[in-house]
Amino acid sequence: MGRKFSFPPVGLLFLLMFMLVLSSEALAAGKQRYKKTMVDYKIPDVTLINQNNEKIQLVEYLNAGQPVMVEFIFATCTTICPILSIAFTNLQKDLGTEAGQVRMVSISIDPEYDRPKVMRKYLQRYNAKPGWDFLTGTVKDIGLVMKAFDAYIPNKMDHQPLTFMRSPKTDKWVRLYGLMGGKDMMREYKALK
Amino acid sequence: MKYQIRIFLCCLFLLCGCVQSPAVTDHNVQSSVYSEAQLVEIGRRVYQEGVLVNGEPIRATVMGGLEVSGQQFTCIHCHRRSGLGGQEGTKYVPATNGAYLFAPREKVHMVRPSYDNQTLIEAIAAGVNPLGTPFDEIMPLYDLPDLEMDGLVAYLKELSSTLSPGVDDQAIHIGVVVDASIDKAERDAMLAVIERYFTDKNSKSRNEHKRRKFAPFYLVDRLQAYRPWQLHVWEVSGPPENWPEQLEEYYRQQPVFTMLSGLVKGPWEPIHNFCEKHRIPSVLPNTVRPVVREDVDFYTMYFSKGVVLDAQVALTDLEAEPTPSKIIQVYRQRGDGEDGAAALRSMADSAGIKVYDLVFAEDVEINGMEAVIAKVRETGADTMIFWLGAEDLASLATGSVRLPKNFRIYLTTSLLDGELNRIPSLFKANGLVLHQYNLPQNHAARFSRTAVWLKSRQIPLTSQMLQGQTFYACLVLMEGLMHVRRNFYPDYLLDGLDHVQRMARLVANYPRVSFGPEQRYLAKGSYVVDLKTSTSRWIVPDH
Repeated sequence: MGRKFSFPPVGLLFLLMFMLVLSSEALAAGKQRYKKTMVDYKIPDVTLINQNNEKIQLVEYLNAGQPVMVEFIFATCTTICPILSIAFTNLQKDLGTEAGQVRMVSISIDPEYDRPKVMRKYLQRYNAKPGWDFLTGTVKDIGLVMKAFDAYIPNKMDHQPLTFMRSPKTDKWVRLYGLMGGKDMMREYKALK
Repeated sequence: MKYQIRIFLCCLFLLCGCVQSPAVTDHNVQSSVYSEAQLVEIGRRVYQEGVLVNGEPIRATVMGGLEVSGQQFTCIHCHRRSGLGGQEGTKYVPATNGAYLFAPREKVHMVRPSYDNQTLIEAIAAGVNPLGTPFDEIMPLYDLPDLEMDGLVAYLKELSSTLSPGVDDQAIHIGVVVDASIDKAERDAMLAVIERYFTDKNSKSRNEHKRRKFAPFYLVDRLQAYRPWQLHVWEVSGPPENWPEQLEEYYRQQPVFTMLSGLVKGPWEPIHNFCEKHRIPSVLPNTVRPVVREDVDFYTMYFSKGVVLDAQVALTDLEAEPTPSKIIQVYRQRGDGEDGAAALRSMADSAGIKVYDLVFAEDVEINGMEAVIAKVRETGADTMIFWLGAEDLASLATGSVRLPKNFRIYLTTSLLDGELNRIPSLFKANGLVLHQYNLPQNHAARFSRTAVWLKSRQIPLTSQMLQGQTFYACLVLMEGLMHVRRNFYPDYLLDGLDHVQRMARLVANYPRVSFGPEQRYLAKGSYVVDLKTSTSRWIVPDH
């Protein structure tokens, strides 16, 4: 008769505990909606146009001495862009009178379809208030901007949920990967100050 | 024992039903005033337009508290018009059509029992499936009044509930419209490509119809979807006004799942309207006279806005000039340029540009420039747009009268089969050519895939425009049907085509096209080629 019950080796127990710790960490990380990194970006010297067909020198525009937020979207996007844009809508609402002091920029990744008329309609749909602009340009220039922000994708349907923020006091951009809720946006905005 | 347990479970189920039923009855009191059709319409407006019965926008929250309303985040945004959902970026959107919701999911991921009215309402309002599992945070929680909720449930039951009559067990039926008055050479050039593409496709069968009976579940979808493509050439004749009746008759004999390519003399409108009426997708017809009703119509996908795009580009180009222009536009009555002229006229008014028309009747011969010069003297115009084909342009060039050199003269290659070299030398001094297609120096590389395909199948290359476009239409349809698999719903084919951006690089005749939701015209811009300086600029109008 062999033993009915054998105690597992201590090594195995340690391994199990180690795996448990790892998985709980993974779970905790899963609760975080987005990933935050601080990055240096060199903005290319390009001229884009906004929803009113006005020319915008991008470098100058992003260095206007106020907090800046950038998102890459396109007007007929079905899933990710509406959430990114609603986050802007809600942040503008929550900021109230302070909203005009934040420069919010949606940059088109479908630049030949998103022309001023389409962009105006889009901003209207999301109740955009002054301070939120939608920019487009030539395919080449938009490609340069996307590459500069390490957000380039050859097919717009594969685009990623990215939000970029920068305080006027620093050159570092905050890169936020993931879809964010209203509180997340506000927390990140406050952290800029 | 098992039998007793079953009886016990049945009783429990019935009891639950009894407990729930008063709430359900209350819920339906208001809705019962409406007929089923009215409820479905209420639901359609919620699903597609994001509005309540009283016209107010619907309200919802998403991502744990972001408030959304109305058009900002309607059902159709993610679940698409067909309701079969899709995928974008890293997000997968499940189907919400009746056939999918009211059937259990047992074998693959996202396993759940079938929805019923009550669990569906909970799903829409509270974001949980029948097992109580919460959805991804990007699914909004909709705060809908009872009536709209019942309407939405009724609409979802109807949504994509019947497969297209154009597909049976034996084949996917595909229609190609050809006008009887089209030149035989052109007709053959187009049909040779389509027929050969169909033969190639159908020869790649791997006994799917036999294998599907024994297939493991993960192959069932693919094997059951397989059908050969069956070509139906629908020849229309007489004036365009007579075509709808002829199309109806063809459709009565054999419904088709989709239309492919096609070629007619005259406007595409009769076929466009027919497709809207019967909900038949129409993939990339060969026409420069599309219907431009982007926000309203759904079923036809065009290469570009054709001559309407030319008008938009010409106007954008003129608006960049310091002084406003006076334009004379020259076109044939009932000719292909007529639509471009009409578009230009309606847009120029709002841009403060004056437009004068010089129209030649169908049967009048054009001899030289005399009539044009007389019109210039009469109006004092400084710009001309010739909406004319190769023969008419050549007739203009026959006379001895030459145009003043300070004139801006626009011509379009949309009416010259996309060929820049068909412009008479008369216009070389000051012609500005609206050219949506590849520049000559880029053409060979872009066209090589089509050229090789034609050569390897021994199909003579007789029309680069027609055969390049037709071959591309076949490629796009193949991609769309692969996406559809066995969900043969017309709307789903187009929802799928919205997402085939990866096909954009294969286009043969255009420098750049793009696909996207709600986008029905693939090429958005055009070159303006300055013949005097041999330079070109790329213009994308604010459409």
